[in-house]
Amino acid sequence: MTEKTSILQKDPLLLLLLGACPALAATADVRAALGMGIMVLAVLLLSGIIAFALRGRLSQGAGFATCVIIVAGCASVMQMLLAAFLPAFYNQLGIYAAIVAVIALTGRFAGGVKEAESMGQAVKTALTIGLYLLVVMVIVAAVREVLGFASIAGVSLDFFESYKISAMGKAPGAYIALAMAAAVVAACGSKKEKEGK
Amino acid sequence: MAKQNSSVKSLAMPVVAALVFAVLLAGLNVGLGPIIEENQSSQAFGPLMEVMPEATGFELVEVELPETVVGVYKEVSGQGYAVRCAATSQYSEQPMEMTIGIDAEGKICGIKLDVYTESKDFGLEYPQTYVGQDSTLADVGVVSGVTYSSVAFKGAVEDAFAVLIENGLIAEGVKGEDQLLMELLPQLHSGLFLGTVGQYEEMEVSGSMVSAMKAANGSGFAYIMKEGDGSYLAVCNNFGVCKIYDIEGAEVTAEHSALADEAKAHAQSNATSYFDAAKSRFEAMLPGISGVTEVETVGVCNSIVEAVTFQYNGAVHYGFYSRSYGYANEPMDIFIAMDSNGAIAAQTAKELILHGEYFNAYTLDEPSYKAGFKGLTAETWSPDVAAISGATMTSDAMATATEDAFAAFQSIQNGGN
Repeated sequence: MTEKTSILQKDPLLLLLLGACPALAATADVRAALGMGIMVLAVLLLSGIIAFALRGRLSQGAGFATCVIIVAGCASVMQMLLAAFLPAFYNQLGIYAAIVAVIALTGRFAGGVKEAESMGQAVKTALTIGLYLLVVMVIVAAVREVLGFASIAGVSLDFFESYKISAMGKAPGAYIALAMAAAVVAACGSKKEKEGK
Repeated sequence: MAKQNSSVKSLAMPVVAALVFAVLLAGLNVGLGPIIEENQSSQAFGPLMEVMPEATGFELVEVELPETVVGVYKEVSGQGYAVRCAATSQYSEQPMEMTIGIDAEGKICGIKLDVYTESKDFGLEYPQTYVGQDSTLADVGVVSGVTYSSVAFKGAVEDAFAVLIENGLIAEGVKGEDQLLMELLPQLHSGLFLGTVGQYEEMEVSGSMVSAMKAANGSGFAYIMKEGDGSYLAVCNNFGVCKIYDIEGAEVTAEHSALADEAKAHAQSNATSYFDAAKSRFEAMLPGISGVTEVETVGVCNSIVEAVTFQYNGAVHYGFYSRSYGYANEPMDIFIAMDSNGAIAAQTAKELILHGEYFNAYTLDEPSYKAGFKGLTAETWSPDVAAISGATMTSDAMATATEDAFAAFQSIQNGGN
């Protein structure tokens, strides 16, 4: 592994930027976030299995490029299958379907599926990363939809109608909700770290 | 050499991966391509299918479109056309989107209001009154209470038909005589219309009458009548003057006097008298008037429901009572007094701002507004005098009433012609 790819994989700012863009797009509605999360999970699982099968060869110089091709290829296959057999779901995702590969790549390089020692571990890691992403996206989307649109999964919440904050439905709202989620995760991590010490 | 081999091996893996995925995606595309295309087609043409359920597919027709028509689509098996339209009602500016299915014979086979938030009930029943209609739209009207919405809707449907007809895609419907006569009516009796929207109630017919209409403001009547093989339009004002017109719009009262007499008798038996209301209002407007009598020699058909003459300051004056349509299409009660030269001596309205309880923050200097009319004649008058900022419909009603009063005055001067 080169020094450059190592920096790319470990730089949280770069990872956050890569993850923030799709989050802005896909987390204004719980249904879109859920659909996106499931699709990302499937892509991570499929690419994780393929990457593990090729683990010996991926350790060579062009491993990173190969991983990108595998993830992008899996995302394209998923898109085609959705477009053919679940068109309503595919249409609901709209342009978000095209950014699945970006989220999956972010998740993959953050989790390091490539280094798995067995197929079981590769699947477990892919599932863990995918579910983590799914849960975070759904929570962020729920916060944004309730506060920004006074609804949840498209169902109106009359109580929140008078307290709507329209900015939460827009790009600034996504950053605020992401920051809230990041703060909760950081707080939990810090607590566990202290307990460990 | 070993380093070179290592580089080749490094490059081989991503190249092989790319090739494998390229082949996989190509294979999927061959297998799933038609399914995906069908899905996309049904999504794009979904609204079109709703108005033409038997359609097998659509293709876009490249023609020049008016502002209200979004797209024209031809049904591929020759069943007809689907037209997507977008309009706005003048009243609210809310977007109104609709899809119209027109069969090969040029009749509406399906119609759907896709988007319109202004009036939820509007889209349920009204669009269905268009089904079966050809380009003449002979049996559809506008809906009272949602006048602006229905006018916008009808206008868009007319535009959809116009595009198909102008491009030779369907044949134009042939208007019946009754419809042609009804199209003449706004010019022949403006009291039954606000713009091109009818303001009348249908009445029970008798004798030669096919249809009978009474103006909502009481300014007169209109009748579609049959004599021999011909259809005629009779228009009557509230003074008992009736005229007969043929489908060309030519006056043929002398040739069809029996129809005129029949219409006149019906109009007089159903007319509303406004004399007492006019007399008391002019007495209040111009204290000291005397000898108020009704004038019957008014030959024009407009918003004037009563005309009187009286003595004021030792000179003959005329008073005209107009009920032109104002806010919410409701008739306003407007009184205009003129001297014997046709110059306005005084002008007032029973309620200048209708529904004043809702517009209680409205500020209008009524005395100076009314004074602005004083001394004006038909030659010096301008509609700008009637303008009230922020009250377009009231301004229009005041202008109409004033112009109608000048026309009635001129008619009296001409002996009722």
